Amino acid sequence: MTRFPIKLEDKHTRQGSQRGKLIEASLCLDVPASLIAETVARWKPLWDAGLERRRRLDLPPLENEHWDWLAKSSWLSLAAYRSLGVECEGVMQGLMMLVTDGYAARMQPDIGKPLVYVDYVQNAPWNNEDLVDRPRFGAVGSHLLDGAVKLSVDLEYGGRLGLHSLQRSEGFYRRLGLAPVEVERQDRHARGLWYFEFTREGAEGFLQARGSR
Amino acid sequence: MEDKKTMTLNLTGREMEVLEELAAKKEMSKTAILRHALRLYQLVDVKLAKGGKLFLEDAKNKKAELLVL
Repeated sequence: MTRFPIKLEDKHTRQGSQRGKLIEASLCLDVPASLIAETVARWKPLWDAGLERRRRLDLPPLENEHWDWLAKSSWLSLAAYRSLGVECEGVMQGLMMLVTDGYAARMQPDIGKPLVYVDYVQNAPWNNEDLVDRPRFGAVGSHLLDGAVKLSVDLEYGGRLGLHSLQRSEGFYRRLGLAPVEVERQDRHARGLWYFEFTREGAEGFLQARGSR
Repeated sequence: MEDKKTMTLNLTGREMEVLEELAAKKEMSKTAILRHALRLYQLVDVKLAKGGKLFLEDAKNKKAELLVL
């Protein structure tokens, strides 16, 4: 596992409109399956409690309740599967699973060129506003996306990236500059979800806006 | 982002032409094309070994063709 230094905002230290304290953290490339299993086990009590609370409040179930990180992480033995994590205070604050091969860009001018596909991405339950009233760390998802775009650059894919968004995350991806391409009709695992993409140009704009080129 | 190992690769003239064509088409270096191809080959090989089947669909005629690797 390779670590790159980043900073996370601790939202619990916000005062009025002032930004919270920035805490040292790491963006981790190639989180091993064993650490993913350990992380998911650590997340589980609060995750389960959050889902139970939603049921009591008659809130709709989360779209990713069925995700199976353990099954998914078993694919990490293949070179085409990669993982990213954001670690802070010795704990993973978010995880992402990526597939680097077998997916191609759907948008001009990059149609047919390879891209990095985001398969799973999830925040720790204490950072998830759907599960807790006061999420702790912010920007975990955008740091993970930043890592995925940089991996795409490293593979010479020019930062190209694709993903199917859960309904509740569509606004987040639009704000980060991913282009909504189409509602998925082919892929049976993602049918009905919006497919978003970063072209090479879109990825460059994203990295420039974050000052991380 | 990662450490890489180096090797020498001997290709026929035709294989080198194919590699150069693909590199130009995908706007990638020849090294990146070969790395991509290797990962893809492992992915397909493992999925086939687990009982998966690989189909290629003709978008016009909607005809599916079974591929054997």
